[in-house]
Amino acid sequence: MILIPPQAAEHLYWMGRYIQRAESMTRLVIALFDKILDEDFEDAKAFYAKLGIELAYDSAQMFLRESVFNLEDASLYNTINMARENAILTRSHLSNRMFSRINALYLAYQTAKEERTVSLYWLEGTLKELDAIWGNFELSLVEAKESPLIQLGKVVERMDLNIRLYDSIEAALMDVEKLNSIAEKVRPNHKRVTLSSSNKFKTLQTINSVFEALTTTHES
Amino acid sequence: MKVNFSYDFTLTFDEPVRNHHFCLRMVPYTNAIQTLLAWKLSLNDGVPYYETRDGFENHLVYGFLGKPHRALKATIEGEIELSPYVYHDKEPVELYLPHSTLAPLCEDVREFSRSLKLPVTDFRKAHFLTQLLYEQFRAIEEPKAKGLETFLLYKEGISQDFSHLLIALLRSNGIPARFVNGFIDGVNKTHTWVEAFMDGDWRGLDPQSGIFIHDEPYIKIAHGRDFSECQIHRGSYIGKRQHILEIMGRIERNEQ
Amino acid sequence: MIESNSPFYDAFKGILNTIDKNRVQELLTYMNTEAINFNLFKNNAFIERKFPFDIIPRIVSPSEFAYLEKGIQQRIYALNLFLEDVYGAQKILKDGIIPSEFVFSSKAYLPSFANTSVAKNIRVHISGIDLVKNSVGDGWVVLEDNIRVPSGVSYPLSLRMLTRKVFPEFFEKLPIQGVSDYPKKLEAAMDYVNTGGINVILTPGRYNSAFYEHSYLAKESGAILANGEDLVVEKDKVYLKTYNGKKARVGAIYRRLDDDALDPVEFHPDSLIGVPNITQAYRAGNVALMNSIGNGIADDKGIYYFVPAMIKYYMNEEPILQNAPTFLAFFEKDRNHILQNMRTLVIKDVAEAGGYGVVFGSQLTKSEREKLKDAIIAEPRRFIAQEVIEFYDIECLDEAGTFSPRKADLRMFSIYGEDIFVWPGGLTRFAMDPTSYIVNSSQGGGFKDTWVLKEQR
Repeated sequence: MILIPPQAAEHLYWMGRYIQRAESMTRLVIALFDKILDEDFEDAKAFYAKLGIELAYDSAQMFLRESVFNLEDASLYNTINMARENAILTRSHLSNRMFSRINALYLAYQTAKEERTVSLYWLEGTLKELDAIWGNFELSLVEAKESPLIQLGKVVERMDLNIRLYDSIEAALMDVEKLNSIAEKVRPNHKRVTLSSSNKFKTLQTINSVFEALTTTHES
Repeated sequence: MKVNFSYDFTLTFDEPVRNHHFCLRMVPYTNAIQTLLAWKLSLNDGVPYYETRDGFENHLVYGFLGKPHRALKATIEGEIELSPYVYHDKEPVELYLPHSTLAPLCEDVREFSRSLKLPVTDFRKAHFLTQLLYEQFRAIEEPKAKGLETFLLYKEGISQDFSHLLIALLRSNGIPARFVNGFIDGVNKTHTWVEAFMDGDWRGLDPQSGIFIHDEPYIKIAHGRDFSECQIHRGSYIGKRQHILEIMGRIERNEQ
Repeated sequence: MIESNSPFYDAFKGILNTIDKNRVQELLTYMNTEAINFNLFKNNAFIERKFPFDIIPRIVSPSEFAYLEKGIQQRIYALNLFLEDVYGAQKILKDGIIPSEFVFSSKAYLPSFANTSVAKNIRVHISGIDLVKNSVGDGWVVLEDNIRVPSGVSYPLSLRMLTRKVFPEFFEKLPIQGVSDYPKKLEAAMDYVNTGGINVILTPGRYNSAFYEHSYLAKESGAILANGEDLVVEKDKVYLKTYNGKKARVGAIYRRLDDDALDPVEFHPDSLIGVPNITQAYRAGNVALMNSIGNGIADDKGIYYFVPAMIKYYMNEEPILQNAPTFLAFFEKDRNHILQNMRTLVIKDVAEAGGYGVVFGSQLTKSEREKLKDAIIAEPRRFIAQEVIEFYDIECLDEAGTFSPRKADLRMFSIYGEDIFVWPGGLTRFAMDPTSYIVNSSQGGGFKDTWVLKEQR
């Protein structure tokens, strides 16, 4: 029996999602920063507008500050904070190294937010840190029983963002096999997830309900 | 005296509740004046129950009803042997001297107590106070107890209020007193009374009826320092708090 | 006043003088990264606070520890027997050693748990005994027994782990006893009382001040960290829910919730962090709770007065550790003494914890003193008074690199399993304010590690 309580499982899953979200958002901000400089100054506004987020900036630097620190829920800072919050809640399930890496990243962001300093160089550093977190996690034996839940979060988030940010159901579909093999570890003999490529909204809904479907507990 | 008894307990909720963990005190107490000869308890839909005892030796029945339900029903039937209401047990009587949360020695109780001219012996004091409550206070039908301050102010309350006030008055006169939950024949609510320790024995006092219980068929379920320690139902569930508790006790003399 | 003539402290300082104190910064960074902190609510806001620590440890000599160890074992053994007795045959009351009224009028005594037998007759599984070293006569004095839900062990444990990394010199040169086996001892004690099933640490949750400790101990002891919602009573046993719907039987619970919050069916009906009917499973003997329900009566500030008498009564031994001279307002003679000597006494309200309800008579205005006198007369059971103990200061090193003395106490932890293990370490708390005697972390105190030295070969 896998001794992970329901709430802890949910936090592990969300930790995976938020770490992945931090990674995708960092890449996005870097890409948009380039676009603002090279192609179209308004590009990032348009992109965030697609997500229903109003973003205002009058310089590339301000774009960085806004997207990294200031956007309420969608800021990179907040995403990392949420990853860390879920790590605090599941700390007894994590290796020390995994936990302290996530916490250190959060602390670095906290300091940076207070000092309002951010640069592309800094964001590249964040990517390296996130790589290290994932790498660390792949190698660690401590989280063996937790690992499928975190990986599930990671792959679900990636699929979700591929659709929502890049409108790419095709990219999401490429992850279905992986999703199913992880889901098998989370809950053996689960019902396989299948996605149709036609309806974006429906696909999103299916992806986002996988965790719930796998972890439904029965009140007796 | 042998009697047959039945006791129905129904807790009805305004809206369905679920995940209901309950703990019931409804199996009659066993002591020197009351011997439970046979009993059978059933809960609605055959919900299973488990038994244990608390520190007062009250019999506890607990269990879980997960699915949404509007009512928790329990019925107990059985046979009991009753003796005259004079007895002692192993519990330390000193436990019942200090004031407790629901039977506090608040300023209002003190003042009321000061206004009384009490006879000398414990026995007469207890008699006097029991009579006094019966004569000066009115019993009303309401789901909730008033609390001593309100009870003293309006001179009306439910069975629990009568018992708590009598307990507070007895204790402040140095007489150990405990709260009893139980039932009498044909009364469709919980009946509570008081046991006072005098001359080496516990005796039953019913302030609501103004009597010293002797061989009247009072069936005791549980006792404690006050109501909070011997509630019939305690539970935790998901749903609105509104509920009505209905109880029906029947006692019949077994002629055999 | 600082304890003079301490060769071990001199040796410590000798080493300290040779090393770069700026490495403290490294320690701080470590602590930060590991999120070793405690939580508090201030003005309705949730704050994660770093536990303010000082790198200078309290140093306990081998002979001193041997003495404390014996004294604490004796005390815990007696307190456990007292709880077994007071929730059982009540001989100590019948024999008049402790006035029964004293126990029965205490809110901490829970008669509805009388006659509940507990696994292996152990009730005081985890304890934290607070002591100070008296500068008059050099004796150790017990100030308080914490045998409900004592916390704080993780702080010196974590600090030790980090200090070893940052300042290995001390560990090379001084014979310091290791402390890292605490979680293993906890695990063994849980296994010992386990009634069948897994071990669980029950936490009130993320917002509890000691959540870090709960996580830490769960991880290190191999117990599963659970919230109330994760546990369920089914039939008459306790189970841990798991995310995929299966349930694992739970045999021992190290609960970090107060009695009041433990079970909404039995105690406070509004408790959302408890487990409904867990107390019934406990009464039925189907799960071990660490510590047991109702322990509050034994660490009641008023019952404290009787601990030396308990030791004599149950064990027929002389108490090894002394109490602070204490007066019970409950006894007329003591009450008169208190009322006449208010200025020189510390008056404590037995119902309060965490350094609250502690009043120094000397610091009261005349009218405050009169008010307190009235309260004592009205409710004598509620108050005790103690002579002020001039306990030793320990030096602290501040950021500027200067040493300054602060009042410091010592909380020693022990685990009662197959035997009573006294942890060769401890939480040394110090007052932040140089004039203060109050060292509780909830009132802004800081902490130090406690180094117990081994006999040198």
